[in-house]
Amino acid sequence: MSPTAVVADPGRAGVGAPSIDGAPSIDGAPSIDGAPSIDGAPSIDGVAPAVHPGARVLLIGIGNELRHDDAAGPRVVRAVQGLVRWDTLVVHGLTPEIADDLAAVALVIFVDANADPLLPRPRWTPQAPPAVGPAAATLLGHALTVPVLLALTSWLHGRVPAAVTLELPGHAFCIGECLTPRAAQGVATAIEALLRLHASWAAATP
Amino acid sequence: MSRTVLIDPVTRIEGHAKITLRLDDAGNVQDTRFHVVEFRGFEAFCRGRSVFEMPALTARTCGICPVSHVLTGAKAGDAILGVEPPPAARRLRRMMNLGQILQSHALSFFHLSSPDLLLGFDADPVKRNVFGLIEAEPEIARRGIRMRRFGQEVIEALGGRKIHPAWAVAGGVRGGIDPEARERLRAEWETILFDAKWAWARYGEVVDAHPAEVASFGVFPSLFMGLVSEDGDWEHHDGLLRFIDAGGGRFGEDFPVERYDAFIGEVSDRDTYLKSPYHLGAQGDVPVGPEAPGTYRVGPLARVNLAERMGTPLADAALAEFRGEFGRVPQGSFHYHGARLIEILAAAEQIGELLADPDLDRGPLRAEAGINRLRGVGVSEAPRGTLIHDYRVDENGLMTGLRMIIATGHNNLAMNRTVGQIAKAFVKGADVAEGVLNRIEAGIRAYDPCLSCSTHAVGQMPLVLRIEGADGELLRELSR
Repeated sequence: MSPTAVVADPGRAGVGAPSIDGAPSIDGAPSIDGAPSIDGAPSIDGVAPAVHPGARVLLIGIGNELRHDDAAGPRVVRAVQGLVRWDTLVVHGLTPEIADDLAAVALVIFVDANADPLLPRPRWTPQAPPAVGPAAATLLGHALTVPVLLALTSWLHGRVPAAVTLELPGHAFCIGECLTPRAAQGVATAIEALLRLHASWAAATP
Repeated sequence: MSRTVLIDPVTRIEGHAKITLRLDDAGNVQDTRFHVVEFRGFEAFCRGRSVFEMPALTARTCGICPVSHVLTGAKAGDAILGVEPPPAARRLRRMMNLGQILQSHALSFFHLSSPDLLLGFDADPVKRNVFGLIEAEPEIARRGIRMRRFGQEVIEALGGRKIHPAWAVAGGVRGGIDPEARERLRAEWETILFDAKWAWARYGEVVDAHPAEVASFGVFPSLFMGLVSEDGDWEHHDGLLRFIDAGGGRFGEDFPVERYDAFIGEVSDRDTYLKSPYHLGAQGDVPVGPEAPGTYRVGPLARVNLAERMGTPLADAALAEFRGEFGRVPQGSFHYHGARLIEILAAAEQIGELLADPDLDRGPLRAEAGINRLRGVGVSEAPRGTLIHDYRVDENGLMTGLRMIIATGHNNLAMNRTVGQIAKAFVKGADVAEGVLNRIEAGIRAYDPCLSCSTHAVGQMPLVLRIEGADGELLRELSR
């Protein structure tokens, strides 16, 4: 699960979305942004990643599946892994050797619960390695954060994929296997979004 | 007026934890506490589940040591079925545990502790991390990742997955080793052994560079506990439980794992959810506290101290060197790092032997049986220490009770005492330097605790230091 973060700034939409260098974008790919949800609010905040034809994509679901909403990321990835031609990985936390997996792809999509009580719906958040500095100094643990893993990938392999986190609302993280209603809605929305993204990619990828 | 220094949470340690230091009027450390602040509740969650489900279920409590829970849960299931797994299943289970020890120790030494050990505890915190390490010694991070990946490939070759493999089951295992993966592992093995030797060769340099830390990181007499083979050799999966005292003498006879509760008690404390196990036969009037006579340590240092031999040539040579330098039973918790490196050697060597064994997965892999006993105890050595699963079931094999004592729990009293010792050595007054805070954390990291078995990791947060007056007034707050 992601540390509690600031609420998305709507003004950031369209800024910093990852793209794959040198590859053309898919024309006419369906946009996820602005698609209405049941209550009429946009289903996912932020900007979906550009997924270019032929690009190798890795989906990583992060979380403890016995901690209620922390299972949101793994559930999303498990739901789509038989339906997509992307690489998939479900992990409890991010560890250093995953850098090797990241180095092999053009785009990585992390799917993770976020405990921010103000996160109303799923959100795309662009990711990048942190600048060298204090931010990197305190971000080491048995489980790495996304930026630190990206930095490690860059240091070890000399390249880093475009990266984005699909953050899902989470509210309950004690022991248990079911999702709260809002987390379940976020999971359903995320599955639909990823399948649409994949459909666009697949249509243009031999 | 006394003052309180609060460090919350401990970074680079799984889960939530905080450290409180209480200062007296002269600014000397009066008391210290290591708190774990989230309720586990897993035992209650498991009631009503099938015993056959338990290995996979308990594995999902933790992303750091899931294999340890899988194997220990399967062993508790063996006991409830009343069966011994077939020899091939035991060999395969042992191989998976060795893979787990290798990959976990690699993470602990190469990535979590090496920034302190090789760059220095007082190094600029901006540099004192894996990136600074890569800058200074790029090879060490690569070797660490290579070793960790190899350990995970061992796990995947057996269980089909790197994480949470539902492969070990009551009575044995679900399948043999993937032949192609086995060949790949054999091809990579010599490189890993080379890396293991290279890492051990660095330990003398590490110790020489940090004399003050070696002298203050948990140097106190305590008991040590862990599994040993019937010959008294290093063991990680089968065998008997052994306690030794600080002088290396047996503290009672070795005993079968199901009798653990005749020797180990647990107490709860009001300000931590991590219980404190202690040796019942050594308890005084107050079993919990800095001078608790029932304090024992588990994990790499304990296993190495308990064993007569490691059982493989390179690891035995390293053990002889270790004991020649630091004594038959080193007392300082700094030496967890050295013991971890010896275990890396042993695990690499034993994995090599198993990969070369033509009978590795030949023969039956699972003993079939129904519910024959209503209680079963499984014990194995997780990378960070002895893991105990104690199951009670009804006639249908549904769980009616569960008691788990995790490695980090066993070490709780020792970690508290270590924090106190380091604080007393390095803290004088509320003006605490960053390097001192780092030392306190590093003292705990030496045990490589994994609190995610008992807590929920909510990401990494900055280290916060609070200094309070006796009336709760905030005198100072630091963070990094």
